[in-house]
Amino acid sequence: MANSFFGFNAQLPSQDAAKLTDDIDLRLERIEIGPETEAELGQLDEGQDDLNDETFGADAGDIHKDFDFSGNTGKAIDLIDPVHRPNPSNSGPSTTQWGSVPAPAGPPAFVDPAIVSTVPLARSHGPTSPDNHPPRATAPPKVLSLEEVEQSLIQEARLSQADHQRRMARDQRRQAREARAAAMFKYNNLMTRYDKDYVARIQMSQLVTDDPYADDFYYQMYTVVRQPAPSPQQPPMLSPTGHRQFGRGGRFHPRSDNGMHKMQQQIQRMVNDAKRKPKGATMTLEGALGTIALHSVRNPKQAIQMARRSSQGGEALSPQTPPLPPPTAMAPTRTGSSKSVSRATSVNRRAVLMRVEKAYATVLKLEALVRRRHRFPGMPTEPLSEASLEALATEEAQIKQQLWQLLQVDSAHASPSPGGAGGHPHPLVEFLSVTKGKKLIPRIYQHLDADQVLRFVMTLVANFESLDVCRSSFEFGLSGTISAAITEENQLFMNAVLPPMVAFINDAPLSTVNTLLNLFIDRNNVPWVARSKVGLSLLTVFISRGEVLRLQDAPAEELAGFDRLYAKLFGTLQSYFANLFPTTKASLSGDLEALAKQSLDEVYVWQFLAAISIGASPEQQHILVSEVRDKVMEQLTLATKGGLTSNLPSMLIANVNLFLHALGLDASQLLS
Amino acid sequence: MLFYSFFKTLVGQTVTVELKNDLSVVGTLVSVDQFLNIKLDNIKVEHEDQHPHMMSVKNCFIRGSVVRYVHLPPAAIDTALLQDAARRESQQSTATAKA
Repeated sequence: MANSFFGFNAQLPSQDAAKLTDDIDLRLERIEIGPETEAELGQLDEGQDDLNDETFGADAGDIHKDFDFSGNTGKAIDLIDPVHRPNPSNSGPSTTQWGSVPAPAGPPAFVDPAIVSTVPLARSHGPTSPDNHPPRATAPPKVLSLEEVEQSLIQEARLSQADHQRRMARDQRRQAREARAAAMFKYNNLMTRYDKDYVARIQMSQLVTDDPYADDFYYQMYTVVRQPAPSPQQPPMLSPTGHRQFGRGGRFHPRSDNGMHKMQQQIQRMVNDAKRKPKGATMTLEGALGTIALHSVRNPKQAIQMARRSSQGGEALSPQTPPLPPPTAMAPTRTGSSKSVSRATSVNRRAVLMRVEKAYATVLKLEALVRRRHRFPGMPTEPLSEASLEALATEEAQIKQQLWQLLQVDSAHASPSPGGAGGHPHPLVEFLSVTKGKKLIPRIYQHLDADQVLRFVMTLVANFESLDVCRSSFEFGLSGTISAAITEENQLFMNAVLPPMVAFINDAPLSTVNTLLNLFIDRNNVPWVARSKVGLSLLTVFISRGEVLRLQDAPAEELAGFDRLYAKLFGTLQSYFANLFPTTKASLSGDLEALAKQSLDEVYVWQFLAAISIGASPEQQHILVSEVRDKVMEQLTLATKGGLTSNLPSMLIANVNLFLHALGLDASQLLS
Repeated sequence: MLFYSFFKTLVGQTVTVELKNDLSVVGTLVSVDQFLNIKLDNIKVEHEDQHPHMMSVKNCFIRGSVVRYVHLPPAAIDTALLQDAARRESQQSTATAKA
């Protein structure tokens, strides 16, 4: 009696020898009858009804026997050959024995030979057994009509099908996932937690910075500027790294905050370590076969080697920092009398550009300082101590001083010749001759103190005629149009430089206005400057401020001074009033629409005429009217002639009325 | 870092990314990283008739190195600020070069 390896009794029972052959025969028979069993293909396999409840939501027994066609087929099969029935458990006796309850059957596909061997016994009265007869009919409590059952069956079939598909898909997904996990399993725990942290830190260190305003300036400022006024209690959701905290939803967990804080500390340590390491692009380790790069995103590998200019060659060309004493009219000779004038001007232009660029750098530094003092979001949060605040204040004062010196307002420089032609204009005018210089003025302006503002305005007024925007207004000349670039410069000056001046003048007392106006008339070719838009606008501001102060009981002697200046100004401009209107191409061509549109741009002239006519004596008013009468009539005919679209006529008339109302007239009186 | 910083502000905007293989993809910028890899959502390819295989693609990840141009929405860009940022960047680089 040899026990098998697993301890089973591996020996077959002795009588089994015959049984075994029986079994084999049986199985053979089963295979042989294959073709015959085709007859039972229509038969429902009732042995698999266990899941009917789940699939159909109904027990197999609940189904009315009206529709049990397969039962009949089953009977037929029984009649054919009970022994060869494939599913013995479904035999007659079991069903009669259990009544309406379907026989609990095992999987019919796999038939145990032992069970099969019992079949002949069980089958003995199989053929006569009333397979699915009356007992079943009593089982369903309610008899449904044909249609009802049909419908519910169809519906359930559909539902179950969808359900089945879903389950299949889910199973497939699960299997795929498990397969993946199994495939990855061999890599588990290759890296320790420390390794992972280390890698994560290295990756983050590329992006994290201790000064977001230095490395992520655009993003930081953009979010501050474009975000609608964040309330102080609720600072914008910016982490100190410049990244929005984990998702933009505004979820802000204290835990993640803590994590960020920890990481920042780690970064800080790493940065410090890196600083302690010797500088250099590469580092060689003992025994290493290559070099290890120390480059980062912010400090990339240097791909291009620029040959440094030799010191002597570089100095000559490199921007000589404009010396604080102003470049005088003799400036060209300073670079060497042998050099041509054009060379001198190009060098000079370069110097101006460098000066403006320096001013930009200074302004940026200043603004960074202001942000630090005023705690912009994202700045280091530790409170500033008294001492450091003081240090910041002194630094700020220093930078402001630098900025002021860069403007070179104070250089005692006289306009070399009226008209500004030849020689060098004032350094401040040079500063304003470049576009970016004009753009910078508002940003410088807010850092100037009252005294500096006064000096700034005075210098500008005194050198007004040498400004490029004054000279450019004559450059349309014969072509009849001003180039787009010049128009843009004009616009920029009107938007950037003039407003601070206007704001200053509108707050100034009459004595200051007098001084400025006097300076303006003395130092500039007034009829010439007045033809430019900026010049005339400035004059308008002077005069209207004077008139406003007259109403506010300014001191009598100052008023008298203003009146004298006014008379002087009027006298200078007399016989030029009609020429204040720019001559343009449109006025030469016959295009009325274009002409009208052009005329709308002349509103500043009408404003000036209105301002000057307010304080005019009757004789002066008479002079004014006689000089611009033609222009007035021209505008009114243009407006009334028709052919103009939309609200152009009314706007034209409104322009003219600016002037006429100041005289106590109205356009309607002239038209009638 | 300027470009990275710049593109971060465009997240949520609609941009057109022109690739070096002449494919132009219009979509909402979802994210961008330090390599200027770009994630786009709700994408649409220009000249769909030439690229029918892209019609069913709804979002994509574009490797930064294959981008030729990114067309930006002008309204979303603060040019003055961009100039400042560029100035700061150049100042920093000269400062580190000297150091």
